[in-house]
Amino acid sequence: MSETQSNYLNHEKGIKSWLTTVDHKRIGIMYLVASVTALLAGGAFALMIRLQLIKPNNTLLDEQFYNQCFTLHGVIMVFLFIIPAIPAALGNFVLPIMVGAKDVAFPRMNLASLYIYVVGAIIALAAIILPYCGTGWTPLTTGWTFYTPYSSQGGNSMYPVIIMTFAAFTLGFSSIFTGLNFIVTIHKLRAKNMGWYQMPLMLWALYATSVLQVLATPVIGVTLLLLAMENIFGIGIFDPDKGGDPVLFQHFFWFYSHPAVYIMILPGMGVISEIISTFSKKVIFGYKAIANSSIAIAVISFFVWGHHMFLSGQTTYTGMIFSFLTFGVAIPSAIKVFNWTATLYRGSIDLKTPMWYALAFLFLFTIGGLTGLYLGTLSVDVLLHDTYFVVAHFHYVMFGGTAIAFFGGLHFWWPKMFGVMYNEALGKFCAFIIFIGFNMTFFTQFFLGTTGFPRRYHSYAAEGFENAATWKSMSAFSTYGAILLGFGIALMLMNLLLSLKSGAKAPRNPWGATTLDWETQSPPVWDNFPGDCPELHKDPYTYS
Amino acid sequence: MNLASIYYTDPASTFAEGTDSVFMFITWVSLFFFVLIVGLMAIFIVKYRRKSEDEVTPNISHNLLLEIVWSIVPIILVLFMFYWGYKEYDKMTDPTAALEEADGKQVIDLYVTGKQWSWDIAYPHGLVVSSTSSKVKSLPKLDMKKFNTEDPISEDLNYMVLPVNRVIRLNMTSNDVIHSFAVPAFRVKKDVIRNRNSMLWFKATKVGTYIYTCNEMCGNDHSKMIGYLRVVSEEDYIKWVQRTSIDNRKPWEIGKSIYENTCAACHSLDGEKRLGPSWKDLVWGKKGHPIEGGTVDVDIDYITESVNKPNAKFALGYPNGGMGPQNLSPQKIQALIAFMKSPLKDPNLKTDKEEVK
Repeated sequence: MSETQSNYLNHEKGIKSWLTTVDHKRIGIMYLVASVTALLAGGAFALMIRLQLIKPNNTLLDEQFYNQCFTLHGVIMVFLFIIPAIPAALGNFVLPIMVGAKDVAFPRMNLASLYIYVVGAIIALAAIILPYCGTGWTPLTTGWTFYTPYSSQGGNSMYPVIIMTFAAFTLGFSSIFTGLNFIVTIHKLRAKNMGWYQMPLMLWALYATSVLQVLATPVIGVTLLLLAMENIFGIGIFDPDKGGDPVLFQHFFWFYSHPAVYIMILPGMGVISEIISTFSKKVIFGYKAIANSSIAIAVISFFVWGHHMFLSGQTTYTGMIFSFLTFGVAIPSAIKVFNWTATLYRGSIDLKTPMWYALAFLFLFTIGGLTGLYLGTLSVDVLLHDTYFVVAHFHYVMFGGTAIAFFGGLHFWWPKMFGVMYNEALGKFCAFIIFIGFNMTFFTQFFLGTTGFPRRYHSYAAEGFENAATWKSMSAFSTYGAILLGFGIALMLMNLLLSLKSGAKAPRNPWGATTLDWETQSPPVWDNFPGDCPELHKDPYTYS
Repeated sequence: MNLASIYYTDPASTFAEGTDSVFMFITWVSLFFFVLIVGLMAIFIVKYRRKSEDEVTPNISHNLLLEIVWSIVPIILVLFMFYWGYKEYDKMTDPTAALEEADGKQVIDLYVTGKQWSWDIAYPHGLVVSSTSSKVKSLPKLDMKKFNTEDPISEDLNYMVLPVNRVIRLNMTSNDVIHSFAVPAFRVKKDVIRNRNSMLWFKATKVGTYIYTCNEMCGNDHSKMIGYLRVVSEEDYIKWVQRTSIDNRKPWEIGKSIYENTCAACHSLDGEKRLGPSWKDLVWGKKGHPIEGGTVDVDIDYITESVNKPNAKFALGYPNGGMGPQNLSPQKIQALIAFMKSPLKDPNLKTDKEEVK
């Protein structure tokens, strides 16, 4: 980093200047630090889960602690890592620069969003730690889904549930603030000449995500509030003994949480569109199809929540409708994959680190999407529901999709964010290790699922039934993969951090990308563009 | 170990074939698209690797025909999956399909209760087997060979025993939180919820020993709600039922004594008017039995409700009720039903062999 060059990192100095900043780039960086911290915490719990399952009848962790591990793994990864990782961390950094604005529409609200996130994270931490501080509370073991009546039994188990749901409730507001900000920014602050169909696809993806965040998040807020009220005041909303309906909770929960998985994957799809076009040096194939399918996914995703409840006792007819609609959401996702593949055709493909992640995404997301077909099919879902097949499918989409896209995006915009280049060879090596480790961890779990291994089992028998050998070998193999995966992620983060100290200076546009974010210097000046806001001279993805 | 057991449990019910065919269809479609996408990706990466920095790429923005093809083809394929999967699921959730599959034989009703952390399975003859004892980790010890050859009738009550080629209907409920009852070899699974009756039916097709599991997170010992299920020949099943019957009485005899001690004061069998309605017209299996404000089917749900929640519905001519809840266990209700179906109520049922089913 040149000392003479003024940029957002050295514009003001000191911890206070960071904590009171309204600069979207600094807020993005702070979100990045927070969500990567959450990734490491959630990852530590994941490794504990896998170590417990490395062999049959393992007694490494006791039942309650194991249940707590998968609960916290889920809660932390979903609410503190995946949901904010791309929109709030990468999105906050690049969205205003991509639209050609000096900042988001409401900069102070943006900072408020970060503070609410931090408060939410602290409340979550309290829910984790307080049971161990002599309160006599039972640790949180409900799973991230908080299903009633298990989560509404009152007594010593109720306080961690109430506190954790309050944390999720709080984090919801942070999402809504970011979503609102992005929607208004995209509507009002686009550069001159940038019509809707001149927007980079990352913006389309963030726009669709933001709409989902604003519309769906209140539902989880209300649901978790009802759950807290049931626990505190004993109102019979979900408790069957008081005349409530436990399945109603599932409807409420998935009405948010299904759109939420698209909140998680859509931004990843945006990142992938940018990377694939840039490193193929080629106009994206089917721009409009990709843009519109983001919106289609956002809309349809509101009508598929019942596919989480095919076995909950909803009517056959309801099951049929939800199955049908679920297949409806498969089509726009498939179209995107075809478009990305077609973009590679006759491209000029440069296999830099971000492209490795993008190709890994294509490979893994294709598996994640295709295995979704099994779960959307009613009779097959009966076999696979609540088994490791679902765990594997979910991780292929959420980790193989979103997290891999996040890593790719991080490597893609790292030079822009910090003005330095990381070690390219090590970057590729890490991408390779992560890819191998991931497949070892999760492909094995498909076999566990098809042979009936239930989710959230603390231990399993070594012998005495038909598939015992599968359960034993696949579980062990999955654990070895998880260790490799953890190693890969740690190495990747180290590579990035080391570059801050010793990385070569990054040019303005190291990859030859075409969007506005690459027209400003690296790292950008405090208000993104020196002088007036830029005008758009050419459509995105025009390389000649 | 056979190679297929890496990814698949030997099918053992009439549902398995249907489910497995859809499963394989999806697998072939998935493999096709996976190979297509990853194959093209690999070819493009090799063929179109960047050779020089100033390469110019063609401006291929879209191709309408191609886009239509790759939208329509997946739509057709998924519609097919959807319909095929729905047909199978419809059969699994349809009680009348169970009756058709029973093929004239009686459906065997079992009462399953999920609780933290075991399964109780109540048989019509009064026996309750439990999935696991608290002493064992994960699965009870079991020598599979022993059961199948030398000692077909096990005394150990940690197993569910079922006859082959008979329709079994599980009437399931939970004592506490949500559980989910699954038998991977039968390709069936259903959530079990407090204050609800979840129905699950199947017809086992192969003698053998299988596992059943709980698939909904239900607390600390969730992973211990796993047990063995043994499918035996019909003869073995009858022998097993006889050996495990309560105090050697036949179910309808147990039911008769329940009737005489608990019900007879208010309910006659011959139409005589007592405090409550006579059971004369209460014929088992009757559809559209008239009650106050409507009709009901005389089935296990109605009988259970009438005994344990008598004020939920009122018998014709008794609009104010007046009976208190009896809190009879599922197996006592089963015994009572056996009595209602016995020669005293229904002259068609004669042999002992039929009654136990």
